[in-house]
Amino acid sequence: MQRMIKDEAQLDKLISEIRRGTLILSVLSQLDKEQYGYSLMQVLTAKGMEIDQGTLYPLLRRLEKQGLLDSDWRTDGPRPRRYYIINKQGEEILHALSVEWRYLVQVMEKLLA
Amino acid sequence: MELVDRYVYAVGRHLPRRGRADIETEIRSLIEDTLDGYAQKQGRNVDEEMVVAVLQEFGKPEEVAASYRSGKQYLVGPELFPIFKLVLTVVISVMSAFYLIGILIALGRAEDFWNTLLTIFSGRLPEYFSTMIGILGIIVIVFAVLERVLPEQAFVDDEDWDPTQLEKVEEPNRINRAGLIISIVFLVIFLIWFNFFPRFVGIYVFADKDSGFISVLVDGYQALMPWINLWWI
Repeated sequence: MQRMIKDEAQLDKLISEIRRGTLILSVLSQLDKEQYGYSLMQVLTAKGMEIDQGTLYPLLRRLEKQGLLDSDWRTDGPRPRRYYIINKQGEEILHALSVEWRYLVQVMEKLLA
Repeated sequence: MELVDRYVYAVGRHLPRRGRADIETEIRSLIEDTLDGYAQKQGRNVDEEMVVAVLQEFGKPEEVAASYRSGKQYLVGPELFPIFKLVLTVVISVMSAFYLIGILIALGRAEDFWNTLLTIFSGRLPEYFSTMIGILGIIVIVFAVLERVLPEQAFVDDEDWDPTQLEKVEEPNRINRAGLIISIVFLVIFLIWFNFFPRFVGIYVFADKDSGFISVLVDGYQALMPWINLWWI
């Protein structure tokens, strides 16, 4: 199937467009326990969600700016690290997004069947 | 680790001053975390080769900085662009028409046709182009300001719009719409002209000998300007 698509770059672009929609949900879902950037990436990778570091780290900042995450510098490790954790508003958004996601998955399963 | 320093510095250079130090510290910490992870996985100490690989993974400094920057990275956004294009087209065509008429009048009144033509090519044509570029600049500035001043909601589609209020498809309506746009544009031009460039309000005379300009505004007019503005709007 993949070989039939001549333009690999085009396919890559379309795939990353789909994945982009899952980013925020992925990040919010894993931040019920506080994580710093690298540890969060490890958690996501371990569960099969590959995110570019260049995408993940700025996204954490943006979500914090939007008031969905709280963050805190910690200096108890080998180096200062910025820890992120979901807050009340983030949880509400996470809940709403999860509902939407589950609905979409159902619909897509039907469409692709 | 010198490479890491240079990398962090390069990213920081493309970040706004506010919050720069904080982002720099975080990026450095993240790079070091990643390096530790690499070293552990490969069972050897961090070396230059590893640093290069990690930095490549993080991405080009300009791109990394760009994804940290918030705020608008453009002058005029897609919501305003259609109106921007429309205003630009209308204003540029109207101004071009003015110039053309001016040139035609000058040619019509010319005693020495060829000489006047030469003057036009050497003087008024370059002036025309620089004026157009100036106008383009002003319009871009106005829209760039609008882009930042208008509340976000101004761009959100109004869901309560009433389809039954749609215009009927008739030619006269289209003309009215064009007329409305043109009158708005003229209003804006005159407001800017009279308020900011009062010296240039007057009658231009294009003739061979007594080319010049007769100002029609009296000195005390500026006190009246606010009232004139109100009346126009």
